[in-house]
Amino acid sequence: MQKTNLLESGSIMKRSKSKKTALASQNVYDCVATGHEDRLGDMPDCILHHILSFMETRHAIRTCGLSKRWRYIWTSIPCLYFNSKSFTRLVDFKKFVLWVLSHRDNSHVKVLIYYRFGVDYATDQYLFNKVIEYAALHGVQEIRINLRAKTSGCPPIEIPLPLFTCQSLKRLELKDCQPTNISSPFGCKSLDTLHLEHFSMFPTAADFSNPFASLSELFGFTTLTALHLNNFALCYTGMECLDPFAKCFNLKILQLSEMSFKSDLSPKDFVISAPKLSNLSLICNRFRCKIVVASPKLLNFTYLYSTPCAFFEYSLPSLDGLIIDIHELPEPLEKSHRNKREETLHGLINMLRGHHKAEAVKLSFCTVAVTCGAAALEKPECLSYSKWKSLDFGVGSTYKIFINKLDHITAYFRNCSQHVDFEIVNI
Amino acid sequence: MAQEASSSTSSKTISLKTGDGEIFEIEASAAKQMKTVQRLIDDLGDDITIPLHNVFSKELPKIIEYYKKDITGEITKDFEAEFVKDLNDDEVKVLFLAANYLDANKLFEFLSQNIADRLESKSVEYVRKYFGVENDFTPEEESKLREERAWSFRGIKEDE
Repeated sequence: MQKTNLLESGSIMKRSKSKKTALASQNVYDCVATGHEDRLGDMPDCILHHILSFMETRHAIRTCGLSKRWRYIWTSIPCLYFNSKSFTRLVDFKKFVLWVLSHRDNSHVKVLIYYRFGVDYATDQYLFNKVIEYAALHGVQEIRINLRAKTSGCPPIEIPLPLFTCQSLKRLELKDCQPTNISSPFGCKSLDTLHLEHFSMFPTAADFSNPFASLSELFGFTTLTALHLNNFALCYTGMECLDPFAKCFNLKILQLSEMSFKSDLSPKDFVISAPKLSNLSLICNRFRCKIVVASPKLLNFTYLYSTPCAFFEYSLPSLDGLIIDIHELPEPLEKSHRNKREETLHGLINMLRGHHKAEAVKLSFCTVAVTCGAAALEKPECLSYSKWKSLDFGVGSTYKIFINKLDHITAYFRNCSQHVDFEIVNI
Repeated sequence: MAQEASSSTSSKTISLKTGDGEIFEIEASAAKQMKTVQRLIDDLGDDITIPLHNVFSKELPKIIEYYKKDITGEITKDFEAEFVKDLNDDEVKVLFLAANYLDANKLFEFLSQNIADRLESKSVEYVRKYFGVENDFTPEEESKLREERAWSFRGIKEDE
């Protein structure tokens, strides 16, 4: 019986559950080795692949010289990691990439990482097409691309069609490029996570009444569960209220960082209202407009900002718990900025007022100054049906902390809770 | 003592006994992260000291340290960097094999990356020793291979 074996022999062997024959498609966790190896080299190939798949391909290939057994192990590593920085000339990089593609066996590619740092404005469209085509043909699930050009930043690139028609692609990361495709008839049907950084749409492709429309047309926003957008300058010329994520029916995680609207081309209200959104991070954006957080299922909200111009309004009907982490970058407390800070926190209090169903609220502030809109606190509107049981109130900073009216803040929350044992924990 | 419902395992500790006979305690929630341990608990019950014949007292504390941080959600890049900072390549290898045996996914992934980082810039000889591989090429085969590789990999920086 299983039990006695475990106690006596002390080794556990798990048979691979995989029915597929291709070695690379075996889940590495199906290959738990027996306990008798003390030399890595005796481990099954899939475990060795696992280690090698964390290396740049050019390093992993060197294992072909270890021994006869190792001669061709590299050909089925399920990860391709090409980084042009490791080559003295781009032409050598190109030759290397093409060589690898033609000498690899036919096994799956799970992850493709392609970083081609150029010196001039153009990027190598031919090589890019080849690599994407190869990966798509071999069932790639994750693609990470960076095409940063030294002199000008984002080279224009046409995203090859195989990327859009690839049914296996789940995660896509594109940095430092300017796609010239206007839209794709397919979108990426299985795409789960999309990460775009320093990515701009060609002027002709931009739809100014909804700067996100072109993105959603290219990649299809409706299948995404996680979206990260970093370092875009958007233009908005449409009606007053921009609500770009309303149709992202599956979106759970949204991170916007270093985004801004160009000069005056910004909406009056920027609404974030994805129906299933649970994690929202707004980091160092330069939105000079009101941000309305109207995602009904929000659980976590992280906010780190640098311009004191944004303020918030929330419309979040019901939550069980909420974690808000607000960090402000340290800056001198100028008078003109002080008012804006009050508005930020005022908005926060407004949100909490509407949040009476939450049982536990955790607020942490890491700021130079925490002030609470005094007006809001002078007449606290107590919600007698508030269920708040505890408030974890963390105030910490490496800079001087100035807490204005902390007592008022805590008294406010205490008043709003109907629980006798309402707890305020200073972290 | 009756088996506690799995929902109330938050403060329960499990006893683990290493191959060299030492006993360590871990939180039940940390044990859950090590699938091998969890399977043993499921088979043997959580009141018995779980025997881990292939993990020893040198490495188990380090693994427990990692998962202690994991269950509080405190694993950061800084923590991971500190965690391996003073370990030499062989110590990392031992931890890696233990993580594999314990089916401890997160640690296994992290150590795979760390081993890859360490081996990236090492010579073929070093990697052979590390993986315990015997060089069974004849000198002719080896020089032919080197020629082939030299042609294909021209222009690579820091070639060995």
